[in-house]
Amino acid sequence: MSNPPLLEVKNLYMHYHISDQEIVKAVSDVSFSVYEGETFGFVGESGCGKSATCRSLLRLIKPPGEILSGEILYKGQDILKLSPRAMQQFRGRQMSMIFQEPMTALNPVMKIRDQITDALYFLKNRKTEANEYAVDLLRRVGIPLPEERIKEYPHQFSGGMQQRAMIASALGPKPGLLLADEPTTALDVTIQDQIIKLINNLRDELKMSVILVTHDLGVVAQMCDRLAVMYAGRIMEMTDTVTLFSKPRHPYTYALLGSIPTRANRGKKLEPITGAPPNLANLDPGCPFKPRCRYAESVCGEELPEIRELKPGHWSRCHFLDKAESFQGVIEDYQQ
Amino acid sequence: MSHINYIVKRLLQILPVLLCVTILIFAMMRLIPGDPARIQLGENAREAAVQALRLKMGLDKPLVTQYFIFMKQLITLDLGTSLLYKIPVVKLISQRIGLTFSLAGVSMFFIILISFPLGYIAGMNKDKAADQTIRVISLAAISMPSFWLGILLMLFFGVHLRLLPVGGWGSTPLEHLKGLLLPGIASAMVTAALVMRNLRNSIVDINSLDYVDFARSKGLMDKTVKKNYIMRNALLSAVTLLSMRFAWLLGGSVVIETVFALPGIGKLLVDSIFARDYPVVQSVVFLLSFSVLVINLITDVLYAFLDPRIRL
Amino acid sequence: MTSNLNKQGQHLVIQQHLIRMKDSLRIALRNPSFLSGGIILIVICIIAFFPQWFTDYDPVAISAGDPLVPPSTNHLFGTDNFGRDVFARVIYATKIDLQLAVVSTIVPFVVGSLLGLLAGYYGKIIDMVIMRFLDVLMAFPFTVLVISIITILGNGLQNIFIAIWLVGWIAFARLVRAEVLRVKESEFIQAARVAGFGDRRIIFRHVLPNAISPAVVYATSYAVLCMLTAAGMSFLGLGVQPPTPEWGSLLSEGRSFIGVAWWMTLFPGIFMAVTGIGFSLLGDGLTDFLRAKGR
Ligand SMILES: Nc1ncnc2c1ncn2[C@@H]1O[C@H](COP(=O)(O)OP(=O)(O)O)[C@@H](O)[C@H]1O
Ligand SMILES: [Mg+2]
Repeated sequence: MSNPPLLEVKNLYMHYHISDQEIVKAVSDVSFSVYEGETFGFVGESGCGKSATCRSLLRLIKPPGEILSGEILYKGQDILKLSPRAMQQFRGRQMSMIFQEPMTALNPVMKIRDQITDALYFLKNRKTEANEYAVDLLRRVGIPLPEERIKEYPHQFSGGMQQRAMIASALGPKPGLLLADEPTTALDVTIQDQIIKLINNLRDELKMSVILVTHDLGVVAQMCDRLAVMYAGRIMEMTDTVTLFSKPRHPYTYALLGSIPTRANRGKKLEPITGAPPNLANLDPGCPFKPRCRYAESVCGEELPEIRELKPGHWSRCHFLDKAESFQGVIEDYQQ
Repeated sequence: MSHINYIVKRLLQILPVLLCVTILIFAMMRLIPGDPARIQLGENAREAAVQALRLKMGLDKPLVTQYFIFMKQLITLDLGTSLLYKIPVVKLISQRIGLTFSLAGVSMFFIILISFPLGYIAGMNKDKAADQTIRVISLAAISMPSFWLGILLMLFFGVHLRLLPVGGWGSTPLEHLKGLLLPGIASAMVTAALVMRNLRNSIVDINSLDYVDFARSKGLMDKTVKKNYIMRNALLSAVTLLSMRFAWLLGGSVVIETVFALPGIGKLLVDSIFARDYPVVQSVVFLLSFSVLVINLITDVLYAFLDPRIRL
Repeated sequence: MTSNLNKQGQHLVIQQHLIRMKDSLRIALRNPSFLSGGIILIVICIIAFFPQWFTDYDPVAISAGDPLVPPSTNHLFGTDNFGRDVFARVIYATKIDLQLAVVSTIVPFVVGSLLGLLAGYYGKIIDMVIMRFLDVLMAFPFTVLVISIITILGNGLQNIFIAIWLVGWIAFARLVRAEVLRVKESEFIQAARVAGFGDRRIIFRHVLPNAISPAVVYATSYAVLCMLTAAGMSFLGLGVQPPTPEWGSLLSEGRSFIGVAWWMTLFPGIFMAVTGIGFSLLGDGLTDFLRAKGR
């Protein structure tokens, strides 16, 4: 990790300014780095701003959404300062994204081929060369009979095949960083696994980095080198995957881990997190997790905790980091 | 091949509708008070002729038989003679139908010319000043009588500026075209506003869809995204609306042709109603509804070509 | 005792309804389209019901003054070929045209919505009959259908109403039917059914209020359509007969004198356009309002 990061995001804020009374604070004070060749994960319940973060990274935010401040440094260059034209050339070639719903992310009236070849900017002869390249991409993402299926329309594909086609399309312009926004959520369980493996293989083959967004901790464990736990638009905890699963340092992370079956809590009763995430349009001043936190004290309702680095590479946003280790419950199980 | 199957299937589907349409028109002619044979021949016809027609129409036979006789006449285009113009109805209509369809064509031209660019601008600039302005204008256009607009245009371009004729059809193709410009614009306004709104709303909706963002995320040029992703989808629903409105334009020709004294089938219909020239009335009504059915058929087929999701 | 409680409960419910209606009204009035549309229509209504407040001239009597006089302080909108005051004629015409817009809409709105409700809720045969009927009537352009019916019935204001009623219910039935099909599947209707409420109660208390909005919005644009179509018929001479003033027939009179008396054409049209815009604005505001409420 001595190399400079491929992507470094500093203090990113993105709000949906719906009206002066209603401002959805979808992304607040998000900072993280992604290194070459690694997979970085974002986990969190639905509505916590994961997709909003991804869209911000590609500057795909439309009004009433607005990136308020922060820096997004890709290979050292702040892409928030790029002109629209430069931004257009940045997208795809450096960073591209696959979306949550494959069905809605493909243009219903264009053939799959055209939706792959139209981004192949580097090919001179669009007709023959591009077709070959697209067929090859489809083969790589595991679509059988690619020469035939490339002539079809999205609605003729199954959900899993659509997802593969979208991945092929996103990889067409050879990005250095792929944002995968819940790539498996809309799919059957059996297909989920295949897609995860596919992304893993492609990452190694094409030597890309991946940002993987999911609400599924199992997926994260399989794929990610490091990850950030998001809650109410903020990063609550961020560290490498092994540490997060073995020595989590945030009550929200405990709660998340306690709600899924893992090796550590085998045989114990699962405890779903009670309560609902807060409405991002009217957040209280304190810690957003406070209402659902088992360990909350009065200070939690008054003051938002800063995110602090407790060990190199391990960050957490809690007032009681020193005490956190002594919080009972899941944590002991993990330390075994 | 599958397209041909589809066309045949749709053709078969409109047959029952067509049947009902003929029944309605038949019923309409029988509902007009008076002796149907005399209605066909006019008040002043000789009793012998009326008697002969009674036999021919089978008025002494049951209604079902009468209907079949009527159908046979329709199919063989034996539509009788106009009381007013004293020529066969088929000939009369064929002289005039060109004008009405040309008028609808000219209107279509203006509709597309006005609505596509404005709808595009409004949709791409949602809630900005341009969008608001266009919205107000379209609201006004929808609320205005097109024949009034026609008269105003006539007043300005015909009476005031003397650029275009205040009515009439002329005799050369150029005069024909000049004669169609003002009525074309007048009858285009409402539909242009409707299509524009439709396009604007489609563009706004599509703009927020994932596939547009996905296209952008691949680094496509703005131009490409707008053309292949936004407009291609937005135009799909506009096409349906446009063709539905073509039928409306044919109906609207009744008033607009009267305003501009254009001898098309719309004016023919009005004149025949006043002259109680029922053979003509019945034929024109049938022709118009038949055209609507054909237009709907063409639209469906066109739509099937444009939208790959339609199962053929 | 129980009935007393029941009454009290009902009272409370009514009070809640009133409060909700007041709230809705307040929100609606904050919508500029709704507000401006409402104001325009209120003014038009006042003109329609109290034309004598606005002019001293007789709209029909022929001996009123010199013919074809351009607008002046004496005759605000000039005079027509018989020397009648055009302003008076336009003002007195308002009532008929407003009637044409409103009466032609209310009847098909009620009948069409009811049929759509039945078709959507009970489905099957009623549904099929209505839908096939729709297919056939859709083959005729609106104007042609109205004209055909007038041909059978003869000219005149009443027959225009009948013709528009006969044609108009279709669109409402279709709109409401589609909504009912949607609402029918929703959870709260299922719940009401499970709770054992009768069909009548479910239909009118639960389905209808949730399915009617698109029809209400459409009613405003249908009012414009009716007014314009009826005026068109009068313009052709098939509707309101002279000397009764009606905007469409005023325009038709104006058309004959287009070269010499532009005022005969301009002013009736402006009134018609303004009324139309009033309805459209109201509909626009309603759409916004219902969309906001639906969220
Ligand atoms: N276009 C939008 N306008 C307003 N609010 C939005 C919009 N898109 C998302 N949001 C809000 O932003 C928050 C974050 O959404 P999102 O990033 O999609 O969550 P996630 O992907 O984590 O499920 C949510 O509260 C959502 O309601
Ligand atoms: Mg998401």
